[in-house]
Amino acid sequence: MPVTDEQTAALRAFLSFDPSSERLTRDLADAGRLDGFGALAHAAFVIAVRRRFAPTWTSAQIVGFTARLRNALRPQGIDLDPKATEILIRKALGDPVTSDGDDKTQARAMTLVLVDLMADEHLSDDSLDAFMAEARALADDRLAARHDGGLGRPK
Amino acid sequence: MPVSDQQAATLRALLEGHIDEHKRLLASLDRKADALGYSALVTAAFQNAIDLRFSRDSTLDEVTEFVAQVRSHSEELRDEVDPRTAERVIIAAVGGGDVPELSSEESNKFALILLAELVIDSHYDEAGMDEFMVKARALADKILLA
Repeated sequence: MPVTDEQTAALRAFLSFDPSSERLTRDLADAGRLDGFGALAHAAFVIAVRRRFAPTWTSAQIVGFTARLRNALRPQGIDLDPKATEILIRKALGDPVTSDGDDKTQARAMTLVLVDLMADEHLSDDSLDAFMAEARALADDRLAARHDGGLGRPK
Repeated sequence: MPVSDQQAATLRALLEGHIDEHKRLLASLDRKADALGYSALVTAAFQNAIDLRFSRDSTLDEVTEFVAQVRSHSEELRDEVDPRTAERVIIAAVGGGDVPELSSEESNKFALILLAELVIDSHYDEAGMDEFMVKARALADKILLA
C-alpha cells in the first residue's frame, strides 16, 4: 500500500516542528497505519543524508558530524549511539555495511539525525513540499518493491 | 626490573611514526621478559599524555571530539575504536583509573591508539619528546616497583 496523505502530513508537520505532528502521528498509530509512515520517514532520512553528504563523502565527515550531533544532544540528556548513527548514514549513502544496534536504537538515531539535517536546511514551505514529494515517491517505490518480493534497494 | 632502553626505544619509534623501526624493535623484544616493562611504559606514557591534554575540568564534549579526531584518520581506526569505549578509557584515565570490563589486551590497544594521537597532537620537537619519554619511563619504573 502506498504512502497516504495522512502519513505525509504527519511527517511534514514533524519535520517543520509543527505542534500538530504529535496528534497526527497518534492518529496514525491509533488507526494502525504507522507502517507506511516508517517507510516515509526512512526515505526522508535517506534523501536528507544524500543532500548533505553525497556525492563525495568521507568517513571522517560522518564521524565528525556524528560527534558534533552527540555533543549538541547531550545537554538535553540524549545519548546518541555513535556507531549505529554512523552506520545508518553510511547505509543511506549506499555503503554496504552491516547494521549496528537494535531496531529501537536505529529508529531513534534516524529520527535525531533527520531532525538535525532538516533544521540545518531551513526549507521554505515550497521546498519542504518538494522534499516531501521526493520522499513519498522513494517510499512508494520501496514499499512496492517489498510488496513484489524485491529487495527494496535504494534507487 | 626497570624499563629497559630497548623497551623505551620501541615505544618512542611508534610515537614518532617510525612504524617499520617500531615493528623491528617490537619483534626483538622478548614476549615474556619484556611484556611487563613495555606494558608499564605504555600505561605510564598514556597516563602522562592524558594528564597533559585533559583535566577534571575537561568536558565530555572535548573527549567526544578528540575520539572523533582519532577515528577520522582511517577507516581501520574508525572500525577498530569503539567511540563510547574510547571515551570511557579517557574519562577513567583522567581520574587515574581504568575501565574494569576491558581486558588488559583491549586496554593496551586503546591506550596505544589514543597515546599516539595525543603525542602527534602535541607536536613535540626532539627535546620535548626526550622529556616526555623520560617522564613516562620514570612513572613506569614507579609502577613496576609497586
